[in-house]
Amino acid sequence: MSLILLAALALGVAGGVLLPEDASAFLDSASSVMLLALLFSVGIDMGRNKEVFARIKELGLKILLIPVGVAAGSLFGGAVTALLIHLPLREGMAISSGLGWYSLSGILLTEAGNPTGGAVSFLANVFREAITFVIVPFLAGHLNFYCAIAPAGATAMDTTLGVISKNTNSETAVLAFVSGVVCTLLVPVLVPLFL
Amino acid sequence: MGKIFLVLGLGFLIGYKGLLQEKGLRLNGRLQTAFLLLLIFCMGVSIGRNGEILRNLPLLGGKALLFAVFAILGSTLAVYCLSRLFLQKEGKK
Repeated sequence: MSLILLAALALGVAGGVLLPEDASAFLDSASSVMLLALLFSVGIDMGRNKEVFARIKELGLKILLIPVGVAAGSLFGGAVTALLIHLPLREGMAISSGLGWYSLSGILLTEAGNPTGGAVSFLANVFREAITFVIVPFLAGHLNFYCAIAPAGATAMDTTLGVISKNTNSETAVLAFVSGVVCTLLVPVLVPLFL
Repeated sequence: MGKIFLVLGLGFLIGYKGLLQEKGLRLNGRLQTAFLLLLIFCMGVSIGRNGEILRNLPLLGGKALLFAVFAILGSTLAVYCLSRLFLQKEGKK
């Protein structure tokens, strides 16, 4: 899937360079309607996570500390980065509140009229996922199992769940999945808050 | 921004209430992939139209890497503190 996404992106970039101005301007305006359709569809998927909501009740609200920590820490990291490279704080926090969900965060910033921020957000969250694969074993070994969930953000429910589960235990894998779902719910809410 | 929350919430309700049958959900999954790919394509178009982004790509990539590193550091630090404070008993190595 991620290869197909990258291919779509590359095709788009080529299209942006080659297509006549009015064609690409049309695509720009059509995409805001498509974004609403995408979010509607994402919303349907989110509402279906009933087992996860039940699981949270069962395990206790305490486990929400993990995704809350992930989100708060990411926002803090985004703010620090924005200060370091002289970007507006809000933009920095919008970028880091992608929580690893690179496709949606990139799209949201681009649609908000900031294609540069969209490109940075897309790349930043791709890098976040890539780094997660590498450092999960280290975090599981040197800090604690909860920390191995932290870098994954929203990806803990799918792409990076395997590496977390392999390096921790099955109980942590369940927590990771729940944390990933909660982070996934947070992304489309948090990113627009900072735009 | 209001529209974003409106469609998200509407979709959430439909999913939560189980208003869609198996077939509808499969269709929703396919449509989601299609919209996602189209939007990523459109994102590429707005990048490609913008010569400035293309010229600055290495710089933007460097900024993105910084964002990734600090978001990960912040998340890990926050989860570490919270887990030491509140989740001590469980999850020891």
